Parts: sequence; structure tokens; C-alpha cells
Amino acid sequence: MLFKKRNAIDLNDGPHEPNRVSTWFHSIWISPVDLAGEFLDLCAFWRRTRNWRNISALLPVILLAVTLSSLVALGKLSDPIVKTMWYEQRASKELALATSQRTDTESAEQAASDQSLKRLPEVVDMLFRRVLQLNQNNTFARFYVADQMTRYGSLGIARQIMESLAPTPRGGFPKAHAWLAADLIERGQKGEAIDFETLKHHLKRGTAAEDTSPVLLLVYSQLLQQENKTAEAQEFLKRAAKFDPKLLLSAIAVYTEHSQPVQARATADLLVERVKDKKGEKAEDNMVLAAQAYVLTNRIDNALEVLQAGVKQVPQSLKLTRALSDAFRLKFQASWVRSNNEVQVNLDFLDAAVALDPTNIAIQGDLSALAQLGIMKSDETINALRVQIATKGSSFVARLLLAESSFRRGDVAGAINDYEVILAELPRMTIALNNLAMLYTKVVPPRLDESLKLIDRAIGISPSLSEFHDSRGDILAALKRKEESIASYELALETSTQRIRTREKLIAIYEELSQNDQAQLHRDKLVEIQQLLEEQRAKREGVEEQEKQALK
Amino acid sequence: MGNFESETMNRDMLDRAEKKILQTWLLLGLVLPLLSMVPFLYLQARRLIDQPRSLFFPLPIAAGIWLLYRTCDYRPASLLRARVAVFVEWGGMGLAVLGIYIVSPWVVQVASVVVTFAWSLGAFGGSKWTRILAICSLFAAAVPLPSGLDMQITSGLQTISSWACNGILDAIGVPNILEGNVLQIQDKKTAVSDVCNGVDSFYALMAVGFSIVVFRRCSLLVSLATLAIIPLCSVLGNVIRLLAIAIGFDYFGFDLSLGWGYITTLILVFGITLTCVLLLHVSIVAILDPMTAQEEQNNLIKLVQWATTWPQATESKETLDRTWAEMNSQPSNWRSIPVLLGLPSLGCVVFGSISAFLVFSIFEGNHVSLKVISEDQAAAFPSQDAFPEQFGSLRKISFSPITQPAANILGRYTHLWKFDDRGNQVFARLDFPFQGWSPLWEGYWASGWKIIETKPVEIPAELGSWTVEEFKMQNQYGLFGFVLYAFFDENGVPMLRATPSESSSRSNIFKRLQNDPTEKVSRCYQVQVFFESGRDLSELEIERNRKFFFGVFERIRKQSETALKKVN
Repeated sequence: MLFKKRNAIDLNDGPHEPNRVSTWFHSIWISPVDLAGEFLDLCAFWRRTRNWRNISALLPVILLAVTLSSLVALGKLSDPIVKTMWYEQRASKELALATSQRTDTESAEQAASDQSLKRLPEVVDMLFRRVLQLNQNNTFARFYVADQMTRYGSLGIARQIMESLAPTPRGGFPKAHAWLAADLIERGQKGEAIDFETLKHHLKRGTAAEDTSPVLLLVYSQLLQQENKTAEAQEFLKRAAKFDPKLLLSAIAVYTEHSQPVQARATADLLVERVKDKKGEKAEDNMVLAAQAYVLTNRIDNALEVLQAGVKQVPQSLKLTRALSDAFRLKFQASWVRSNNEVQVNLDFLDAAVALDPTNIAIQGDLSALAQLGIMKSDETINALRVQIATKGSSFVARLLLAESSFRRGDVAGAINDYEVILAELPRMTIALNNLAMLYTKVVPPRLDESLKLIDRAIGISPSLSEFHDSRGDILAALKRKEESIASYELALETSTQRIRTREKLIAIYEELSQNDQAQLHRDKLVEIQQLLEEQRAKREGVEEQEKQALK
Repeated sequence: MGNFESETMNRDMLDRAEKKILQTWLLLGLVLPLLSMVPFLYLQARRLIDQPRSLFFPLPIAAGIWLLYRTCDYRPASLLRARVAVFVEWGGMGLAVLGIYIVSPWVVQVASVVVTFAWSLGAFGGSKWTRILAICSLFAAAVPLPSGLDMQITSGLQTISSWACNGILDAIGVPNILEGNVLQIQDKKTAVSDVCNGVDSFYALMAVGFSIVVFRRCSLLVSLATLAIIPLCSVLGNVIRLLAIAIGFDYFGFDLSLGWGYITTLILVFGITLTCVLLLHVSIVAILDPMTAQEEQNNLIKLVQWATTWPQATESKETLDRTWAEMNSQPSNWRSIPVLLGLPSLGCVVFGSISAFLVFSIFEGNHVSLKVISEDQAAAFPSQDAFPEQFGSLRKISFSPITQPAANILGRYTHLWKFDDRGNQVFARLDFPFQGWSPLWEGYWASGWKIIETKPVEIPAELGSWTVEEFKMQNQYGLFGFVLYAFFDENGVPMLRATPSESSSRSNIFKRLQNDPTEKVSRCYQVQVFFESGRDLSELEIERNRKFFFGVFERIRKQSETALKKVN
């Protein structure tokens, strides 16, 4: 024993009577010094009697617990600002990767096969949500989290958050303004009524950001152009063109429209400069772009030069052959000379257009224009065409015109003969296939099976052309295959909703089959379209009238 | 010699009397009462099996039986102890009757533990009552805590674990986010409750802890200290498991929360946790080992010695001799003990028969359904075509049926419809089956929502009298959530939830004893609608949402009638 216990004080000493409570209390009372002594004794005794090997079993657990607790403390007590910055950096890095993945085709293909790239958007979303957890006022994180909400269908919430980030009329975060502008444009495209002033406000603020979408820049430039702020509009167009040179075409169109040929030419040259000599997948697109720029600035020969070089390089390119065919059409249109009620045209250009791309349906427009001129009515012209065929050999346009002329004069057999000759040389000429198919329905007896085969060939070459589906519907109706003809007419209307004649034919068949509900549906739609066309016509007339007034 | 023979004969007679007493005691004190409880115990066992966290329950029960059989001295207890045992036995039987009366399998399980303790108290007279109590605490370890306390404790420990894991991941530079109890690493979301609620849960560890201290006949102080470290070890285990999942996914792309990865991690982490428990227990035993007696000891040492040795496992020789003497001198008193139990035991058996009838006939149909809803039956509930493309002002976007793990707080099956409300998504759900009202907000809380306000909704008079509750929430990104929900029962009748003012204190006590604050009797179906918004909803919007909910509820309820008939 280290300390000796002191004797308790005997309170019964002296003259007082013994107090039982006090005695009991003092019997258990121990002075603090004695207590400390007893405690030290206990400690010493305890230490002597312990099995320290067993007690050391505690160490691995303590080590584990201390390690984990230290890590928890490190994570929880670290500076939130530093932590936020770390998460922001990670998020920005991943976002850059995700953005490059979206824009770069090769990366996109890689992403399709790579799981880690596939989940990049979710990872970026998670990182920005964490940034927001650490700092609710982080504008970019709020913007990104809100933007991601649209992926999960919470567009309304995203809109509300964006509105708080980019309030009207005050300005806010440019990216949020840009987002709201894009949202308004999309809603407008869907037919929702949108506030034009709000759109302008968001476009103005949104286009301040460096990486604003070229589409927004284009829309804003168009708005500025409507307000006759041409110079500003051009600036935005040029900014947009940095992302997409194609948008420079719009800039050229604006200059041309505002009679600024020098600027138009300069912009076109800029575009050509930017796209020329670019190799790779987009080389064909770039050649077409350059050609379009030349066309817009009335330099068709240059366009032909570029395109012919392109076709020489890539003969199988459909884009280039179509563009070259169109360029020859333009050359043909430019060759028209009117003098003393006479029109002189150079059919060679149109011939070249047909020979290059027999599937180019736009040629039909040129043929119709020629027909409208009445050149097919005079025997003199017809004979001249026959002479041309006899002397110069095959001329597709001459044959097409002769066929058209024969048909107009009621000589169906003659027309059939001309089209058959054309198709023998150009079996993929869809205009000839369609016209011949329709002529076969008019002979007695109708050659409907052959007619169907021809139109199917035409559809096989150009499946998206509503004209051909309409013709197929007619042929099937003649064959009494009503259900199939309905399907063809519906297909024709799918690609071109405003085809009034097709809809009328469809209504007639539905009525024949007593499908009155369907017939009524199309009848209502027809009324709607007619009203729309009427409105458009009135609007056009109004604009023309205003222009006339302005001129006066 | 003559005296010796007479004493031996006397002892033989007493042995025979002892045996008879013990046999009667076994029959009346244990077999008959437990038989009367079998139907309810069966129900309780089904409930325990349904929840992974309580799947361990046979372990402590088996350990308890083995310990009673192998380590306790089977002989009649002293008269005083026998009288106490009878008193406790009456209490246990009363509790059993109450449990059967209020239809609470949980109360019956508690009663079975009390009855077993009482019987052991009388039957193992050679062992100290404290030892009997310790062994019977193993049976008690298999009883889930009442009033959802077990869930609250588990959920609390999980919250600490996920919070700690979040900190560690930040420290080691693994980007992560914790929303409620959901931890996300990259695009992988892990619900902590799903991965840390298995057979190796906190309660399983607790049962293991109980077993260790009872097997090793530890003193009370050592036992309490050992049990006190279990929550710490449980948190440690949870953190290690979450870290393993997070690091496995972030560094190696392995998902250790599913399939073989889950099983492997479960076994490894349980091994680590168990090792920690054992190591700590060994250390605690060494730290609190009774000090060797010394001649000169101070009071403090004596106190510590007493504290570290109490209680002794066996009765002292003096006590046993006294018991023998008591039996020798007053055998009539002993014989009266089983008689005291006879009537209540028989009463229990009668009551038990009634309970068996109730459980297997009436309850099967109307109250506690024993049938499980199959996936085919679930598919018969309202689905894709339950709502038209345009329902009120909302446009239907999609429908998806979801099957969750058994005993999920969201119910086994969910039929989910998504609607578009001017660019916002609105979710209408039918979740089933539930046993009575369930606290719906728990699920939202676990996914990071903070409940701002919860209140019952006034129902228009034409819709009748039932209960709809609504709550407003906000999450850490500043978004607002608004939820409305209500239940209908197995007959398709909208359910009424008793509010505190309406329910008497008696029924409240009963409900608490039923081991759930809600009516955990009838199988029911929950309809909820969740609205999300970037700003707080106006009163007008709330009123509109309520109307939408009433429409959804009535539509789902009516369309469920055919499916309910099939299920019932």
C-alpha cells in the first residue's frame, strides 16, 4: 500500500451526544487524498496482474479504426473551398472529354464501344452535383445540373432553375440565357406562343458567351437583320461560321439580298479559302460549299470548275454529281435569252445536267418552265428538236420535250415511244420512269402491271419522293387494290403533308370503302391546309403590296 | 449404518419426487404454454425470415437451448426461487394471452422468452438465476426491437457509415456524392441500406456478441463492454464494405454490390468484423480480468474485484444444501408449485387453440395474409392502359413495372406511370403489398430529400372518409418535392389511419405492442403521386395536385378490384 489511510475523525469525542446519521456518513467517508492513494494502489495492482499479450490484441483494431477515423477527419475537415475547386476541375476535365466525344465522330464511335466513355455524362453530372452540394451558389454547377435534368425529362424544373440563373429583364449567367433562348426557339418551332422580346433578351445575353451554339448566333443574326442591323448581323454570322463554315452561306445571302455584292463576294472567297484543300470525310461537303458560295455570287463557271474537279476525284460521289447537275441547271437557266418575243436557250447544259444525274427530280421544274413558255406548241420548234436529234445524236432533253409535246397533243403512243428510248439509254431516269408509268395507265387496254413495275423502280431509286408514291397510289387504285393505294397515298402525304390532290384522292377512296371516320379526318386536315395556304397567300400579297407602297 | 440407510432411502425418495416435480414443471411450465403460442410464433418466424437483417434468429435460439442443456444444473430450485418462477410464468402467460388477443406475433415471441426464462429459473436450480438470465438473453436477442426501433438503429448506423465513407473517399481522391443514404461513384449508385442490411447486419453481430459472452460465462461488466463495442464494429464493417465497393468500381470497374462480388465481400467483411469483435473481446476480458486476491486490500480494489466477478455462474454449496433441506422438510410446498401453474397452462392451451384457428382461418383471408403475391398476380394490377394518353392536364409518358427485393420499404412490386406536366415529370405509383400504413417519407429521406412539412389532407365529402397524407420536401440542390399518398385494403376499400387525437391511449399501447406504430395487420396497397419543382409550390398548384391525386387514386383503386379478387 503506497499511502496509509488516515484515521477517521471521531465526532463522538467531546461533550456532544452521538449522532447516528453523522456516524454512518463518516464511516464511509474518505478523504480525497486517501481516495487518490487507493486509486493509485488500484492502478499499480491492476498493472501488475494484467495479461498484456491479450490486451495487445486491441492494437490491430485500434490501428484500423484510427486509420479510418483519420481519413474521415481528413476528408471531412479539409477546406470546402479546396474541395469544391478539386471537384470543379474534375468536372471540367470530364466535361471537356464528354464535349469532344460529342463533336468528334471518331470519339463517338469509340464511345459506343467503350463503357467508360458511355457513362461520361452521368459522371459529369455526379461531379457537378457534388460541387453544388459543397457550394450551392456555384452558378456553373447549377447550370449544368439543370441542363442534365432535361435528360431525365424534368424540363420544367430545368427551365425554372435557368430562369433563376438568367432572370428577365436583368442579365445573368450567359450560358443560362443561351439555354433559355434555345428552349424558346424549340418551343416556337413546336407551335407554342413565345414572347419575342424575351427571346431577343436571352439571345442578346446568351450570345455573349464565347462558345455559344452557332444555331443561336445564326438566329440572332437573322433577328438583327430583320431590324436592319446588317453589320451586327454579319458579325454574328461570321462568329457562327467559325464553328460551321456552312453558315457563311447565310451571310453571303444576306449581303446579296441587301445589294452588297462586294461584301458578298469577299465572304464567299473567305468561305472558299476556309474550306479549300481540306481533305478527309468532309472534302466532298466542302467542295459543294465552295460551289454554293460561287453560285450565290453569280460565279457559276467557278462553281462548275470546282465541282467538275471534285467529280473527277470522286466519281462515285452522289453529292458532287447532284451538285454538278444542279450547277448545269443554273447554267442552263442563265443561258435564257429573251428578244422580240422569242426565247433562246442552250439545251446542252440541261442535257449535261440530265446525263450527270438522271435521278435529279429538279430537272422536271426546268422542263415545266420550258413547256410553260409554249415552245412545244409550234411545229417549227418540234421539227427543230427532231433535227437536233437526227443531226447531233442523242439529246435527252429534246426527247423529253418531244415526249411531253406528243402527250399534250394526245399522241400517247408517241410519248411512250420517246420515254422508252430515253429509258433505254438512261434506265435510272426517274422522271421518265414516272411519266411512262402514268402513260401506261392511259393506253387502251391499260398496261397496269408494267406501269406498277416502272413506278416501283422509280421508288427504289428515290424512295422519299412523294410524287412517285402518289403515282403508285393512282396505279394501285386503277388495279382496284384500294387498301394498298391508301397506303401509298398516306406515304406520299407523310413526306409532303400539303399535297391537296393526293388528299382528295385519299378521301374518295376512304369514302368508297365506307371508312367515313378516316375520310372526315382527312377532310378536316384538307380544310386546315387550305386555310393555311390562303393565309400564306394573303400574307405574301400583303408583303408585296407593302413593298410596292414603299417603292412608290 | 441404520441412519445412513434411512438417509439414503430418504434421498432416493426425494430424487424420485424431484424427477416428478421437474417433469410436471416441464409440461406445465414450458411445453403447454409454448404449444399454445406455436401459431403466432410461426407467423413471427415468417416475418423474421422475410427480412434479411433478422435471418440470423435461429442462431441465438439454438445457442441458448444448447447452453441450457449442457451447462446448467437440472434440479429443482429453492422454494423462494420456484415461487418467483411461477410468478414470472404467470406474467409470461398473461403476455401470451395479450399477444393473441391483440394479434401481435411479436408480443407472443416476447411471452415465449419470458415463459422459457421462468421455466429455466425453476428447472435449473443448480445454476444461478443470473446465469439463467444470461442464457435467456440469447432468446431475447432473436426478438426484434419494438416500434421500428430496430430499423431506426440500423438506419442510424448506416447513416454514420455512409457519412464516414464519403469522408474517406474524399480524402483518398475518389470522386463521390452522398445523397441521403445513397452513395454514388461515377455512374454507380449504391443504396447503403441494400448492401449493409444483410444477414451480417448489426443485429446478427449483436447475437454473436451475446453468444460469446454467455458461452464464455463472462461477468456482467465484461459482457456489457463486449456488447458496447458491437455498434462500433458494425460501423467499421459497413465502412469497409462501402469502401470496397467504391474502390472496386472506381479503380477496377468491378461491381461488388452484385452477384459473386457481393457474396465474396459479404463473407470477407463479416470475417473482418467478427475478428475485430473477437480481438476486442479478448482485450476487454484481459483488461477487466478479476484481480488476484491479496491479503491487504483497499476498498476500491474490493469494489473493482466485485464488479469484475459478478455474477457467479453456479449456486453456492450452502444454497443447494438449503434447497435440499427445504424439500426434505416441506415437500407439500413443492408439490403445490406445479398445481399453481396447472390452471393457467390449461387456459393458455385453450386460448392457443383459438389463436390457431384465428391464424389459419380468419387471418389468412382478412388480417395477416400468409399468401405471397406472385409476379403473375402482380401483373394483373393496373398497368400500361390504366390511364389514357391525356389524363386531366397531364400527358402520360410511360409505364414501367418494377420488382424489388422482398421486404423493401417501397413494397415488393411497383407499377410506375410517368406523366408530363408542362415539362415537369410527375410520377404516379402503386406500391404493394404493405402490412398497414408505412412511413412513406423514409424512402425519400434515404434518397436525399429533407421533409419540410407533413400533414393529412382534407378529403372532399363526396369521396367519403379515408386518409390521405401529403408532405413537402426539399433536396440539397434546392429542388422541391411534393408527395401525396393513401392506401386501400385487400377489399379495395380506402383506408383510414387513426390520428393521435382519435385513437385512445389503449389502442396506442396495443399498436406499440404490435411492434409497429401503425396497424400491421391488414395487407394493403399504397398509391402515391410525386411532383417535383424548381420552386416552392403555390397553394393553387398544391390544390391542383391534390385533385390529380384523387383522380389517380380512384382510378387505380377501381381498376385493382379484379386483381384483388385473384390475390384474395
